Amino acid sequence: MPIATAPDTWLQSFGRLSEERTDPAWLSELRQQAMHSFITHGLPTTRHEDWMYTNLQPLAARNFQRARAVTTPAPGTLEGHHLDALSGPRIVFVNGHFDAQLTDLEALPEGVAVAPLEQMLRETPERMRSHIERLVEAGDHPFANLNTAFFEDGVVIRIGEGIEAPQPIQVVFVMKSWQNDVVEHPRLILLAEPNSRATVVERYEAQGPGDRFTNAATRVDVRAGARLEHIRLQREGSSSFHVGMTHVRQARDSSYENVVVSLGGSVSRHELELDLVEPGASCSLGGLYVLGGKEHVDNHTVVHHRVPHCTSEELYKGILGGRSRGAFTGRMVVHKDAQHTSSSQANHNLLLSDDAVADTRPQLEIYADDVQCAHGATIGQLDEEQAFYLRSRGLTPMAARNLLIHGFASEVLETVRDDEVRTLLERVLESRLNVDVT
Amino acid sequence: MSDMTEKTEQTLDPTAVDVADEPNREIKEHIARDYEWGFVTDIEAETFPPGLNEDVIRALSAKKEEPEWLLEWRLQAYKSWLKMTEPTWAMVDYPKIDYQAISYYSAPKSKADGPKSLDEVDPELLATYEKLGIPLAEQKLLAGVVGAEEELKGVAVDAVFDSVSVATTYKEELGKRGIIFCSFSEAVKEHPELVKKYLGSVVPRNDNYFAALNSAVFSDGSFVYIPKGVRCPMELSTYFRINSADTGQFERTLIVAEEGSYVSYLEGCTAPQRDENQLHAAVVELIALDDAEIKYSTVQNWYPGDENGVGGIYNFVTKRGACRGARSKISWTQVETGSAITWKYPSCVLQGDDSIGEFYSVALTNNHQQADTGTKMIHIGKNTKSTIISKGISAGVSQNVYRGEVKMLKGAASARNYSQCDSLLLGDKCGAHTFPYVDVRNPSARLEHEATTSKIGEDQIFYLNQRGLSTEDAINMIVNGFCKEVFRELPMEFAVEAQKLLAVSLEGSVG
Repeated sequence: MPIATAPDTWLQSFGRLSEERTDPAWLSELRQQAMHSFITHGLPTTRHEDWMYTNLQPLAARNFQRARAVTTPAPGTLEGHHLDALSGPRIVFVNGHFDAQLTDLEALPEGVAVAPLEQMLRETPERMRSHIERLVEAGDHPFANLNTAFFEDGVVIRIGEGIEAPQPIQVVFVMKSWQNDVVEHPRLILLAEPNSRATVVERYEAQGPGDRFTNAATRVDVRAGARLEHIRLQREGSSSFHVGMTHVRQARDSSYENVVVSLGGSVSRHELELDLVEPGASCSLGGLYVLGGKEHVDNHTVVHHRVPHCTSEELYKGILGGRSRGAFTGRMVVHKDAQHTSSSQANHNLLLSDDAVADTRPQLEIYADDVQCAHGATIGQLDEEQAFYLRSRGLTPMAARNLLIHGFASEVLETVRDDEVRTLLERVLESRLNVDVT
Repeated sequence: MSDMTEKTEQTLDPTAVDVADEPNREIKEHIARDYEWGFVTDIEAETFPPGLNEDVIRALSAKKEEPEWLLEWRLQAYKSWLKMTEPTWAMVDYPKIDYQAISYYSAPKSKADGPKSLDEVDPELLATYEKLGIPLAEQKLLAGVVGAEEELKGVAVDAVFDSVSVATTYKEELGKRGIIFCSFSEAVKEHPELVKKYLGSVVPRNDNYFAALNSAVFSDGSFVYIPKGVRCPMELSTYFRINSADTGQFERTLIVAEEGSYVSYLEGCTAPQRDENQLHAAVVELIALDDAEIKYSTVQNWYPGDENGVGGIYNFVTKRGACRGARSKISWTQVETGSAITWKYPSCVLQGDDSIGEFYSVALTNNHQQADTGTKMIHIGKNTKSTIISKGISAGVSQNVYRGEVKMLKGAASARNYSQCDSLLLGDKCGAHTFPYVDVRNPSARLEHEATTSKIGEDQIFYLNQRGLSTEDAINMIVNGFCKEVFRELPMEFAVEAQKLLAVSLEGSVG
């Protein structure tokens, strides 16, 4: 039996949205279908293999309302989010709506286009169609359906053929509200044209009190020979709900590097699905989740090796304190003809308290014989002896602990190529450790 | 139940089961009895008509002269089974089983209708025996040739061992030490207090769909009880059990090791085992009290179906051991090469502090076989340790899945687990999958899991080729090397046979 959602609230909200919007006919129809599917199927329970570590009951119990655009937020109100830690171009959304004031695209290099999805849909709806429809192809996913039914804005980024973007491009979503139970459904489309190079940072931040729900869907296309570094930073506070779905399609000889840094939430789920559809594609997936309190993060990755000569590498690390729970499911599927696949996968967890829980499921599903695949997982605690050594050198217990945790985490952060981004992530980690992970 | 025939006596002449002690002869005698070529069954008078309902269970229980409490237990199991649905999470694919088309009681078969001589036996089967190095007399026994037993008795007497005296000596020796080793039905009659105390205490009757079915209709099985402080002087095997008649398709095994005792138990055999029952749903329960140790080894080689995936046994087994006492230890070792479908997760519940669970497995699938197997280690007590070594080999168009769970509960301070799951692929049409589930709730627990999947390196084969080995031998050698860590855990004779068995099972997969 699926979990029943509050269908009336969703349907009312959907009705109002349909009245407000002037979508092309195909999109209205797509939304209708998605809404129908979501209401009929409800949310999966923990008996569902893909959701066994995450109880969606607390999320289903809420009556979420669409987050409204905030009129003219003063720039100062976004302090503390290190928005300017990165010097490159940035596009900012507040409550899911494009915010021209906080956006700064001056540094955007030639050949790189960054625009709000809303605007693109208005100007060239047909060009957006295939990108938007593609998420639906991914299957009957309850949150993908919800996103399709409700998305209002988002971003479209296109790195032109052969273009190298020297600075990271930031996409920031800030939830800013004084009311409880608001939801945004951003939709992102990233296109790395052949032989392009770029770093894109996708950030989810929140401000002010209140429980919020972000339900984001990202579609990434990495074309032949392109190289895309894609960072996802999520820190919306411990009472937030977050579902992020990223679908990536990789063409010949492309390279895709993804790092997900998640600082938790009431329920936080990160899904990443990669399709390696042409030979020579390679990907590297990194993940770091740092939790305290009663936070819950569920990472769910799937890599489909569909053709020969592709490589994938995955490293996820969890640092779990308080009464938090961190889950990891990683599936590597080597399809029938995907010979000469090389794949490795690892998940390591550090338990900092008696009440923290780590769950890990690294999975290999292999239908070809000429492959090299490996996975590994560990769960343990900080080494007493190492901590003792550091304390004998005069470090306080806290400093010794943080140094060791930092060392544990750095294996993931080091894979980030862009210096500025790496520094930002390190700062974020540090402030997190000092405040509330015990 | 007027259509059911009256009950028959199942007691057997103890001397009817005398075979030599020699390792190669350690081939289950009940195979021979069950043996009927192919899957054609003559419905003999002593068989219930197909179907399952409360009346069938009552009739079954009455036939076995069971006490009221056991009948009640069966009926409760049946009631919970009716409410359950067949599990679908395993990565196996088979047509829906019609539980009403199965007959739930069948008396021991008479052997008179077996083949009259080896000439009537399928040459392919004989070729397999040849490769396993099974002596002629035993081949006859295995193939169910009429009169083979008497012949073999003669052989055995001529040989070094006098099997009659061996069996009797064993009985005496076990009895002297207070060890109980008998069929389950006998245990119900002779030792009801022990059976009542432990039956269903590790695998509850409503544990899962197949366990519930087994609890309702289990036919027979083995019962072992090792008293306090006793070290069982020999490897116990169903083969040595004097009245090991038909255990049937719903086998039930219960092993209890009292404080400070030790027992090593062997199950199965390396020779291809034929059975007309397609569905096998066995339950095995092990209980180890303080400082006790149970070592349970299985070689499973049920009929896997032909090269086209036609026929073959469905082997849906629930095996679980409870380390109840402090410092107790349970070790599972399995070599799985047979069955069309294997669904089996021998588990350890580590309740006692400092208790140890081990799982060593080789699972080989060829042709159209499907195996979804692994283990569960549930750490409850402090300082509990578990080791998992799993080796999967897939060939042909088979699918081989390792599915294992390691759970460390809150109280499992300083618990430790090491898991290693390696897969070897022979051919580009088969699949090898690794699905570990890990759940840790104690910060001082430590856990490591490693898995690799690869194929045999061309350079490895080339090296062995240039040393004069044929490609087939080279592959056998590499596969055996791959499985070494598990074979090491098997009793020596079994290990030797297991190696040969892998070679035979892999036949035709090289090319």
